[in-house]
Amino acid sequence: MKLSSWEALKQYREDTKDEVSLLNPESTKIILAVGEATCGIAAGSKKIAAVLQEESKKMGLDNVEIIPTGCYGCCYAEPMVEVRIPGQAPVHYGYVNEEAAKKIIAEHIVKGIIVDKNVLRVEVTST
Amino acid sequence: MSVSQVRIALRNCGVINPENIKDYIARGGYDAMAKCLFAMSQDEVIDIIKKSGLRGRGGAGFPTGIKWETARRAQSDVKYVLCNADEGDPGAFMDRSVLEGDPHAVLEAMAICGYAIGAREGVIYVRAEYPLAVKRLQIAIEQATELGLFGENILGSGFSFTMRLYFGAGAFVCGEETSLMNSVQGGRGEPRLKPPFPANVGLWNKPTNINNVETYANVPTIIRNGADWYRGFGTEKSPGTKVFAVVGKVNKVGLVEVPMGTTLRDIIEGIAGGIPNGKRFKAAQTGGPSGGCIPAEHLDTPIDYESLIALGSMMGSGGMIVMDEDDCMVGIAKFYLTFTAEESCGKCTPCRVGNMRLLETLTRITDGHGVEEDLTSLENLGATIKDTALCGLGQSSPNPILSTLHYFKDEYLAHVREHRCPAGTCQKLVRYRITDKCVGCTVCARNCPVSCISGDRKQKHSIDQSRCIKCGVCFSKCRFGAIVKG
Repeated sequence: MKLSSWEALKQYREDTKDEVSLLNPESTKIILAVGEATCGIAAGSKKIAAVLQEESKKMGLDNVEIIPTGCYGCCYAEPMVEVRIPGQAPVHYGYVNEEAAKKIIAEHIVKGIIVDKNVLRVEVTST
Repeated sequence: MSVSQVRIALRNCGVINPENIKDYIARGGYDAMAKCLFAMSQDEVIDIIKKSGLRGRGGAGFPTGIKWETARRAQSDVKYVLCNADEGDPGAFMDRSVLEGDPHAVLEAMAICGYAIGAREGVIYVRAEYPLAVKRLQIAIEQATELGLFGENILGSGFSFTMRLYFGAGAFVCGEETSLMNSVQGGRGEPRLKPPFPANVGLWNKPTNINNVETYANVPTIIRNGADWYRGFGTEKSPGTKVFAVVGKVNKVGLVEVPMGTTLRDIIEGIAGGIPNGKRFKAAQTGGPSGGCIPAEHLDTPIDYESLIALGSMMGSGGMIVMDEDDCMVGIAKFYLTFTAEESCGKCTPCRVGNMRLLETLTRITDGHGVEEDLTSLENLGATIKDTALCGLGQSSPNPILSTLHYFKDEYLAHVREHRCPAGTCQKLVRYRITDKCVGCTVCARNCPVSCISGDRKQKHSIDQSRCIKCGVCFSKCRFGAIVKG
């Protein structure tokens, strides 16, 4: 499909807003964004993404989507996972190993309890 | 100490899915391009970039708007937009992260530039060593072309722009713009004299605008939010933000984007979490092989293009290597010279031969054969190379030596006068000594591969320096901290 005008681009943005992986308060979709830049992959994030996928399947969660993102700048804390639950502030997790990944699904996603040990606080003003 | 980062170039990195154009569009993507095509004239686009004060993030800090304007004024039927993604400084990975995390930002900016200067084709010169960046760029170009955001008659505006990738084969000199263009044309990666500048005589001898990845990544937000908004960050002469790759002896290795004018202390001790293991900060190396080392007494300097040059270093592309008391500054200078001597393309004599001579002198010093006159010869030869080399590589390659000589002369003097390495890292100069803490456990003597340690049980041992091979086994085996090196 080719967009033929600026209006068409804006319309496309509107039409696809449920398909994007950004935090969307109107959606029911939970996004798990895994840092998959070179730094994340080197630290093992592909494996972590697979674990998250497997665990959410085990728990029967069908509204969880796992997506790759780039580098959030915290290469020291890779693998990183950002949890985006509609209506809640996003949570960044760092140093996520398999055990932590399982906990994120079992505790944060299922029970709503944040896995404190792995929470990463980064002060960033986004533009 | 709490310093907040401001993310402009990295605004989408770690936020969007870089392999899904819908994410980028949802964040306002391609609106800046559409705004230019439908609501702004070519001159208005250039004007806003000029007013924003955006300067080249590849190192030298040339005003981007003026570059674009020169290319716009150049008369030609064909023009090109080039993106320099040949990031080669040791320890720097800002551009890789932008391309891996937000490839569309760079593509959109290149199309904006194409519109502004009157070009129809964009070329990204990206290192083949960045396979993930290449893959994500390819996906991004494909998805954007499919939506009609590149190609013929973009969004029905009548403007056409196509994009292609060119892979660099890993020569550092190809980050220099004229070498880069030679390389794209299939020639040897060798620089040529400037002027003429690429804006007039560039790729295939046509007017070409070439900017670095991070420079382009700033452009769409400037178009969307305006020049005054952008000027709200940073300093008067260096507006906006800069991304640094902070590596080395810091607790939090990674990317940091801060407004220009932030101090080194805020970055290193604040955002990067300081030096590990309670060690003391010694120096920060900025600007890669073209830059220099900034010592502790200048930690509070607000960073911008001018202040770093005044300190004998430079902004460079944004690599920042932090060193602590265990790092030998002569060794650091030698590390960079080894790199530049190897990467010199060989076209001009000062760089090809001069850097080799500098490296030989440094090696003599770190091997313990240096004399005090060597320091004067380093200074003189370094200054000559800077004055006479053909391109930026040679003109800046002596900087690591000159800046360390300036700030850390005592370390050089210790090497040439006493043949001693104060940091204890120059292997041939290291001397292991056993102190009074020795309890005579004999572990060192039993582990020494050349049996040069002697002493009775429960008596202090000693090392025969003439036979010691400086392997460091005794140092690492001693459980009482009785062996020191230096």
